[in-house]
Amino acid sequence: MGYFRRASDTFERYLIHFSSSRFSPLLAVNRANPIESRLVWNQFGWNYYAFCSHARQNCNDNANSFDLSQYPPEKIRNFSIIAHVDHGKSTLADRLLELTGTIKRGHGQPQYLDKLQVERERGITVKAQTATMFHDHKFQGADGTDAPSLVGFLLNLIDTPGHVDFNYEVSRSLAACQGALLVVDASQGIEAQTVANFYLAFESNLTIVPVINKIDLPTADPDRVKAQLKSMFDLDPNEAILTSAKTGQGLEHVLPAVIERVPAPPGNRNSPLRMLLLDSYYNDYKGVICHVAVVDGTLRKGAKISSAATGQSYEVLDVGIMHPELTPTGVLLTGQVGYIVSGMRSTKEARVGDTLYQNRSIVEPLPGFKPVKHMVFSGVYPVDGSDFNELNHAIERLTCNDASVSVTRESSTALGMGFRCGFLGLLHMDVFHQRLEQAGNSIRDCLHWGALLVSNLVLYSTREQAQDPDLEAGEALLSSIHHNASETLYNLLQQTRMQAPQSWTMLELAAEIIDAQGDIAYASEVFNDLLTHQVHSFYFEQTVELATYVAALISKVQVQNPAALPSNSKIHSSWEPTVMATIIVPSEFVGPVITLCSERRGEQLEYSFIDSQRAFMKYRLPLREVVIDFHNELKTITSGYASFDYEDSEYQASDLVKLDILVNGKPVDAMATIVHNLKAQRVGRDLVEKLTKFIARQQFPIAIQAAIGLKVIARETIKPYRKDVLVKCEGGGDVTRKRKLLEKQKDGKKRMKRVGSVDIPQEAFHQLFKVS
Amino acid sequence: MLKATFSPILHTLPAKSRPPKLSRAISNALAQTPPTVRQNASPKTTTTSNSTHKHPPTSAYVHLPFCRKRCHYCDFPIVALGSSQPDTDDIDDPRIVNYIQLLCREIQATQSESTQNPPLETVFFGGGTPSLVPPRLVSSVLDTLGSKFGLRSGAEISMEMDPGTFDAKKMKDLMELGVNRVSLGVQAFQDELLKACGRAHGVKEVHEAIEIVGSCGVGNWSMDLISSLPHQTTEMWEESLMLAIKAQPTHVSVYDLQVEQGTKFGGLYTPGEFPLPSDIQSADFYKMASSMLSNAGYNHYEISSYSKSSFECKHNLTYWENKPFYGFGLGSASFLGGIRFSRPKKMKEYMGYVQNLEDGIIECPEDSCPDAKDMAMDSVMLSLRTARGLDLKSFKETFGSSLVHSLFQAYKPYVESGHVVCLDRHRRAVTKEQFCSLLSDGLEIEETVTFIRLSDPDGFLLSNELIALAFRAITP
Repeated sequence: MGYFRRASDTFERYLIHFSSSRFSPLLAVNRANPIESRLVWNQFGWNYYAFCSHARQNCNDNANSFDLSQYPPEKIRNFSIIAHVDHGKSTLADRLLELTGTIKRGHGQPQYLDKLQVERERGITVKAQTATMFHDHKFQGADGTDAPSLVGFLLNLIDTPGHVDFNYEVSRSLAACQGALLVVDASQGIEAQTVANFYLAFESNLTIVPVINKIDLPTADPDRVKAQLKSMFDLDPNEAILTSAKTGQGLEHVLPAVIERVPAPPGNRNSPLRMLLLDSYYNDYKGVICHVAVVDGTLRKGAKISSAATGQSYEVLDVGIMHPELTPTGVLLTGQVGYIVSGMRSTKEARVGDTLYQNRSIVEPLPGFKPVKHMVFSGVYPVDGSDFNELNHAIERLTCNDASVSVTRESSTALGMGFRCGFLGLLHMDVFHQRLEQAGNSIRDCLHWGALLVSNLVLYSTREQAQDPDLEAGEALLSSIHHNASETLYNLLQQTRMQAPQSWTMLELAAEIIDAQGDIAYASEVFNDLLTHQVHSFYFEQTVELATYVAALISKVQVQNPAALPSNSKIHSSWEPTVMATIIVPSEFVGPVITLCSERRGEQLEYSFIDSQRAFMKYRLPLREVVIDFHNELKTITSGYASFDYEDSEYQASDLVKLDILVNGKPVDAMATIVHNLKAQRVGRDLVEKLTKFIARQQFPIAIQAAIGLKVIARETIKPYRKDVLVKCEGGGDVTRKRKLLEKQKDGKKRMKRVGSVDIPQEAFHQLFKVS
Repeated sequence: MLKATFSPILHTLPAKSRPPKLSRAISNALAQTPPTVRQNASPKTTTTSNSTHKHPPTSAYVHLPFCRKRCHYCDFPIVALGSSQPDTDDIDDPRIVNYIQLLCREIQATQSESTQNPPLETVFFGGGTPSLVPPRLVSSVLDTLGSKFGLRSGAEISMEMDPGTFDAKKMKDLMELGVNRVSLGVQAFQDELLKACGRAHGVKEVHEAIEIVGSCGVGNWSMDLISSLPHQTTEMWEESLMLAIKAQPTHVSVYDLQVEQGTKFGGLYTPGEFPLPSDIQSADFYKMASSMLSNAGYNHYEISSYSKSSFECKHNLTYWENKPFYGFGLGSASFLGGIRFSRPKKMKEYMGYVQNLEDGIIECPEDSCPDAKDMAMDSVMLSLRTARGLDLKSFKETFGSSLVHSLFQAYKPYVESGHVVCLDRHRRAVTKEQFCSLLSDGLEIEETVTFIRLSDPDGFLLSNELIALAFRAITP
């Protein structure tokens, strides 16, 4: 540890120090001449055999004969890498995998753990991936003079997505970790997602190892970054490791730091088996594969396990580690992370966050995760109604591997049968859309159905006029129950630590009771919360009582599809989801950013400076405002320098109205949207204007209106065309020719959606709510 | 080459598996028995075939392609003779003579079922400029037709004639041959417009021609006008219509300029853009023609045709009623036994075609195989051009009531908007309200609504769109 503390600021000194300290015999030759040693580095790049850390070279030879029993919890380190997008997280993961011989350098694809096509195309990580590495660590003798002893360690690396949409993946991964490498780009410094991810890790009580990456860049300024780490996170600048994942510089310090600083997994080897289900996906050959972290006890192949959430039991057919692909080991010990194949039929049975335990043993379920919260909803429709089944199939396949997407069937008068999908955020939606199109491509050569993203709001709740005179009490209950339900219940449980026999029937009863109040969405939400937190009967009754009371008091509608909201305004008050946005900008852009945020109805919560050049701002913004074009706008006004991140926050009362789009007096359900009253005028005008560009002139005037209830707030008229006639049609040749022309005209209508008597091209639906 | 006699062997072959070069004697195409390859190729046809196809043809179109020069809007198969050609009766242009010979050979080679076929009731000389053909040669064509198919006395024999291409003598000669209807290609009453569209005559010749037609006592004549010409103003159009009415033709055809690709205009102008009138303007021209001519006692009996009572063009009605007709000459089309067939548009190919015809072999047109839906579409497309409209009763008998019902559904909004008019069996209009309430009751609406037509002028003006909609109802 002392070595790291003494790490010097400049490269030169760093290198001298490095070579003089203790490590590589190869570098030791250069000890006397630091310049020369640098040349060696530059010339040959890096070579992990040269490092102190001896990679396990024979790992491939006996891949199937890992003796995991050599690795008791104290020789295990579970850590993840967190960072802002593009700060080099996945590249660093590659290097660590190579360094430990888990993958061969130059073999396999770069960004090894980004397995999805869309991840590679976009250069982002969407799904967390796990890899087990073996690493022999040299422990220095206590006084620094003893011969170093080699100790083998088992390291589990979990690569996490950087984007906030996938925060749930991050928090999931973090639950299986005791430490995290916080990677920061040496030239860009701390960015918005660095902040968000730091707090995620911090709140999970992880040991944070700061890594300043990309120090090979000419613009790198590690000192500035160190100062930022100090001022933002109160991290000791001396603890920061300077690396370049690209050149390999400094990498040799990373794993020792992990081993020395990150605590071993807690867990008790002698307790009954208890493991946390981290993730699941579907494999065509093996079926459902679950990633698990063994918290207590030992898991062996052939064991009978049960799920705490569903009560189902399974036999463990295969168990192993990801090294980096599935590698059977037959056993997983306390603190280890690996996979199991257990004959589950669908990923729906594998509830992420679930506790799996040995059959017939009694264990306390693990805390689990926050339930997935869907922030953005979108309609997905086939362009051609006859392709519905194909779309259905494609969506099913995708959700097999992405259980975080919620899918419900719906139908629209304008678009026919389709689906409403809930997403974690915009990027998630975008990625899903792209994967859907790729799936379509592989099914067919040409994409006959194009997924259509119809509209984009969002969880939204309204409350009709309460009959109860005690309105305030109702509101208080609403806010406590509503979005904080899970936290509230969870806290209650924590406080009392009340344990009672599980009673799933009771839970079901609760669902029924809430159901009876006509609020299915809410019922299922509560139900899910209860499931997740393993609420037991005592609290359960209270919960039911509370929920019943609330349900009786209010009639709340959660609107996932604006069209479902009645146009007549019976709404007493409406609540909209907000996000907590973190914005980091060079100080010269502070003015425009503040203007933008206030235009978007943002509320400034914090405003400070990270250092002399960069400002840090926290805003509460309505999700609605962020969904549409916020990020683009922010990038534009800051010449691309702003970094932006957000996490979902509470609901706030808001003056929202449903904006209907009417075409010749007929509302187009798929075009309805929900906007803030003050913005309705402008949004309405924009939409109407946009729409006029896509609807072709027809034989009658087409009025396009935007209306709130009965009040029309914007209107455009598309003039009719006046003449569409082939005048001369005499003689047989004419007949044939003219018929061909008219048939062509007919075919042009096929791909239109008809609303009333107006044909609206698909394009219009596509473009109208295009999310930039 | 397969001869027609082999056709029964092919009886069982589905239409698409025919050898592509399959040939047949054209005579068989005309004969009802034994059935031809074509007719057998789609067995459905015979059951659903519109009864009008079964009638033997009594109309013949004869294409006389000669013009002095090509008009700037024209994309018809024509032969430009050049203006230097002396127009004398003594020395006939050999190109014309040769063509007429070829034409007569075609007529001769076309075998009719002579014993049963009724004589021709209409003959139409179209062009080109048929009036450039010396009467002597017209006579030989009529003789050939008469000897071949018979020519009913009093048959309507029309000829397209252009101002400046005939004098009183020629007119009288033609009348003596039996030509009893003249279609005079006036097009406009403004010299600058005539010049701009490349016509070979001026307004002076127009007035002379009207004078000749009148003085010779042609009792049935039509005047052709073109609206939406480049630089045409509302005033000019109004003047043309007024002068047309003043000339008192029994029939007026009003064509809206169609800018076709490959024509001089096609290269110069874009529809709807200056100097062509905007579509609002040309719609106004159309409406102006409709109202002025109607006020002057003309019936607007087809999208572009107006006539005094009982002076409809019988020949053209054949087309719109979807009845069979012969076609002779370069590029002309025939409709026989349910098959539409166009002759080659190039003279050389046409000569080869006639030769083959005489040799008793002729290549089948590739995709003229009629099926029920195609015929339903033809029937709808043609009948909706007329004021009479679509006769739903016979349409239902031929194509079934489900098609009628989908038509009703498709047209509901247009009945409401007034573009489509429903009529009962006494040709009284069925009101919108009545239509909508009837629509829920399938049977009753079929009982009540017997005709469906496009309104004049709004429905006619949007006929493409409306017919395309009907197509969509027929083949979704």
